[in-house]
Amino acid sequence: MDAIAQAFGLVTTWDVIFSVLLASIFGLFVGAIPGLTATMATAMLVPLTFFMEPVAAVGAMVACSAMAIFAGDIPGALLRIPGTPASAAYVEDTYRLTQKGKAELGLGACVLFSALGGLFGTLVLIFAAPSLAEFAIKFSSPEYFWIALLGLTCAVFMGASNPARGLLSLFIGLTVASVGLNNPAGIPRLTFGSTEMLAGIDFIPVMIGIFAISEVLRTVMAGTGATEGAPRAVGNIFRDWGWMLKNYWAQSLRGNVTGTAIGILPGAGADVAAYVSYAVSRRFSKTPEKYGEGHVEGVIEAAAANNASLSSAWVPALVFGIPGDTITAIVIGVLYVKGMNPGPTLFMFNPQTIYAVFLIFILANLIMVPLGWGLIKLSKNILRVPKQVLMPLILIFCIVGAFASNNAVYGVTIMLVFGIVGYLMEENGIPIAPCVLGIVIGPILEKNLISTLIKSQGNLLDFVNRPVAFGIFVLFCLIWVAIIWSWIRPREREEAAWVPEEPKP
Amino acid sequence: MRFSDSMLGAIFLVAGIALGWYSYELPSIPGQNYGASTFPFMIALGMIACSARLIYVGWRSGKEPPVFLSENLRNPRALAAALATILLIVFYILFSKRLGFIPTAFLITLCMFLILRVSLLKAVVLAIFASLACDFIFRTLLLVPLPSGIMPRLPW
Amino acid sequence: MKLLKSILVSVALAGTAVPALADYPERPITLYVAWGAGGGTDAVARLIAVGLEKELGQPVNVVNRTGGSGVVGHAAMAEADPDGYTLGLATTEVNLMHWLGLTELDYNVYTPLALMNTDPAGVQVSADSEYKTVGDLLKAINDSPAGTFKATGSGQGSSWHVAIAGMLNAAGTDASKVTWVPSDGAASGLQELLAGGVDIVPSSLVEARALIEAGRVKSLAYMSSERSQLFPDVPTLKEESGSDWEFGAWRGIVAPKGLPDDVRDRLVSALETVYNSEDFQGFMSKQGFGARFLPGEEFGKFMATNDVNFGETMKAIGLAK
Repeated sequence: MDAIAQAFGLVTTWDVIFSVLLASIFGLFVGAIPGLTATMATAMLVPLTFFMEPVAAVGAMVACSAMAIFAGDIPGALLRIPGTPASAAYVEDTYRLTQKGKAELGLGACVLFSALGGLFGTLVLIFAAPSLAEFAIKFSSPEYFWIALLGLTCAVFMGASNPARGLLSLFIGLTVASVGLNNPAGIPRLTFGSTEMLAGIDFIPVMIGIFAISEVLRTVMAGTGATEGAPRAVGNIFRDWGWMLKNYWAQSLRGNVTGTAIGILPGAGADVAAYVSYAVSRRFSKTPEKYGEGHVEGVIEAAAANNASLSSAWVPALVFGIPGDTITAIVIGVLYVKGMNPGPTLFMFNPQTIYAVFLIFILANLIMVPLGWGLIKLSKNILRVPKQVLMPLILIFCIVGAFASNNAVYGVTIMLVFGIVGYLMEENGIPIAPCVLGIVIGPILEKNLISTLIKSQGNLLDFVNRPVAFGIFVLFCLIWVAIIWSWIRPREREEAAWVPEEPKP
Repeated sequence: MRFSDSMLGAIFLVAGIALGWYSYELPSIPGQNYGASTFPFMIALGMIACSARLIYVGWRSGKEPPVFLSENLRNPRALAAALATILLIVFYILFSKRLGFIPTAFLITLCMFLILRVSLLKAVVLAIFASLACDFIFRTLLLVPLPSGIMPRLPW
Repeated sequence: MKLLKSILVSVALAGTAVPALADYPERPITLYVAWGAGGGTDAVARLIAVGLEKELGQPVNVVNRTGGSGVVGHAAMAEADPDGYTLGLATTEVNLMHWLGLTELDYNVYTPLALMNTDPAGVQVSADSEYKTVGDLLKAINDSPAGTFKATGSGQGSSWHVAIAGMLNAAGTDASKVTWVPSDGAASGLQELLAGGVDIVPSSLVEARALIEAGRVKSLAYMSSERSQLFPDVPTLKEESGSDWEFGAWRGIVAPKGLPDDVRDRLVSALETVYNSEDFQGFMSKQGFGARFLPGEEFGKFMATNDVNFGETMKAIGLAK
């Protein structure tokens, strides 16, 4: 208890509160800009932390990353440009909600459930970090292989109305993920002799292209007549909190648990958490057909999951110095510089500093609500801008965002190509989400597949002869039996050819 | 541009076969049977299976034109607007380094405004404002190394 | 914070009116890093950038050009104009990737400015491993059939792979007896070690630090001529097995080839001041990085020797093309 009192003392200084507040605003700002990720925001803070006290330095990074992940939801909802990869999972829903004039519902859900998710992850971190970390580090490549396959199975639920098209979209994403040199063999693949393409196809410009540029293309093709009927305002974001909490508390809780579990595993981050929980939500929903059409249920679960995973990624980082994602990797470096070396000793020898950091986690997730509200207030003005003025601005914004992803026009090229690809995919009723999922999970899957094959010298039994791996394998089989069963049974409905929809405005 | 099921299946069938062929040629890790080719080869197999399924569905559902041009693509104005947008991005890719961010961004936004029928005066003012604001936010505040090109260094 | 800083910088710049023309530097400098934000190289680069900014009076922006196992970023450093406004933090991979046949580019395309850091590799095994010394381990590897032992810690043909292969080669053991499992980096490699997926992780001691301190991993040997400052208890490879094999990852600042001499001298002296600064030394020793400084030409010679050594080893073990 004494340590907690000391921790309070460490946090409640002007220094700490001021830097947490400034870092939060900075994180919100950077996260809301497409192309600039939470990781970049945190990395940009590193030089500044050299001049800060330990608690202030770590607090600033924690607050900045939490805000940046949440803020990524805002441009997604307003402009269909997901600000961070984690927001891409549910951007369709929040954007459609805005289109229907219900922006406050989507954004309100993002603020509230992001904050709750972050708090949940933090509580798990505080109370269970050492024992959970013990469990998580026992995961070897076969376990990760099955988890990645489970993640890919989500694609089936995402494109549920047409499994073949959903899977094709997934394979496009997986192919994109295999471009470049970053494969286990270290051999250039599909690079066509280009040095730039050795780097592979970065996720961020793909996302900007496939979501935002395709939307720009559609708008310019439809002409300016389409501006009519666009919503002009965002209402009170707090209005719907009551009924959302009442109706969707289970989804929120499930999102928290999924996100926390995925975050604890080193090697899977907020983006994977968001996709998986969105798919889980859809699978168990009473109204799966509403997903992707502007339904808040999936948004709640996925927004909860990505912020929860952000907090729980600290479990292996603090206990073993093994980063759970790129953000914690940065902060581990800062922890060393500040003399808070990660490891079990951190919890034993100076618990007051680590408790202080935990308090900042809680603080950051609490101030997310007022700050997020402020940012939404500010950015909703975007919706008042007429579309013919807004579209060119979005275009230049996208170009700069894609450029910033790797500081070269290569990013802009990728964005353009995937803008056209995204347009064609939507025209042909191929869902986009599975493709993005493939790009996120593809590298994890391949790495662990090849590692396991190399370690076992091709003995396939090694994929299932560890207890946890076997457990996930059984779960995987059960899920697929259920899926195939659902395909076979309503045969007549599924056999019907895909019916072209009316072109969207 | 919308393809029929069979047509879409055929396109992906070709893509899948090409990918499979390509990955088959990739070397494996020295001393291992696995490597760069394993994963893309699996993707190719999956792609071929799905496209076969699409071809089958398309074949069973009967006649559909292989390619269906949606209304937008038959409207020359809409088509021209989309092509112009694409060309503007290509313009950025090719010339931003030489011209610098501000002039390129100015030209792109200006053209876009005109395509979307914003009045000339308003378009010029907005384009100047947009390019300067973008430059300030990204290059100055967020340290994105946008190219300066022919532009002199701005006071900020 | 950036905003405030930028405003201050611009006000200061506006105040000084027109700067003298010939004075280098008169505009911001870009520092390329071939690795992502968050890694050790990125942290070192950002630290050097802060120091250089103080020394040169101009902002130094760290730009991450990642991907392609370092090829993309190292190519960007070489292709820039040699005017002193684009620098790069080159890493060990410069001397590896051309042997692997990934690129034509080698250390000759740069003007060497300063070596800032070297991190020798260690031989890490799990704390409950039955091998107490590196001698035992090498003997066991030699006596077992190929594929019994597995190691990981970096990609195929990249730094730590060469480290262990060279060690085995120097000990007269066939390097292919230890199966190399490619991984993203030392962190995921160490996690595999704890999970029981592999037996050896030949990464630097810094990377294994938290786990060594937590008593989960032990380091059997250090591939350097002198013991490490971070873990002085870990014997050198030479002490333990008599092998002369040494391997370290290094980081140094380079500029594109053809940098004017006056600019080079200015940068070398600025980098030396940065290296000797309290901030830099404090950061490096707290993080556990091995600080080592070699100015200009000496750094060039260091890279040349290093390159020849790597080439010989990689040919001997069949990694080089």
